[in-house]
Amino acid sequence: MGYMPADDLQHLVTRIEARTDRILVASGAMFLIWQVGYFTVIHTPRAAFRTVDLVATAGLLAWAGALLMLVATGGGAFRRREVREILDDELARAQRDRAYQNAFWALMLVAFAGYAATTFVEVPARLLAHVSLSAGVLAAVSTLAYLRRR
Amino acid sequence: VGPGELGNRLRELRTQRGLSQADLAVRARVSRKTINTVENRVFVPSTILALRLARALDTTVEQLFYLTDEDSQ
Repeated sequence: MGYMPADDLQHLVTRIEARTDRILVASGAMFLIWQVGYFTVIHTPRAAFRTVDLVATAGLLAWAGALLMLVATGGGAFRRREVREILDDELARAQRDRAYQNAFWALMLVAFAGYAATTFVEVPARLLAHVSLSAGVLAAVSTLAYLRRR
Repeated sequence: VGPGELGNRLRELRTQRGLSQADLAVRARVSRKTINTVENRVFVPSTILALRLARALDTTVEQLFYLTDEDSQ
């Protein structure tokens, strides 16, 4: 691909930013709503693991991975270098750092609560992993979505 | 913005030069949103970005940025 005029570049960056903002809010909200469904169904014991469980797990991991990728790249992962550089400017990096900080504290909170809970009840590793992953993803996505709308 | 915080004359100097936020963003090689957040004092830029903004507006960092307690003296 050839040279892109600076004005066109800014226009493209603005469109990508707006689209990323919408995806962060919509997909983050759907991810949160999906958690309600996850915790309201009775999960089949591991011994009777069904194909549908495998599909649900793969879907969750893919969704979480896509959201984390969006947080990490700002929606410009497969764009040309000059677009990526502007999408990853100083403000974007500062916002992403803050999102990572909040994700870290969300994970620590889950780890503390999970560790304390194991003193009194049996906490399945799968449940702890699910809550950790979801808390980390949701903390990062919601922080970034909030910061980008200011 | 409280005393001792960073204020700026970015909007004033930008409009004096007839530039839009997008124009300045092109010159400073950042996004328009970054210019907007600096102007509105939501985001405090690094020294490097401050120097780039000053150069893009053909001014000095001292002309562009100030501490708010200095402004009131």
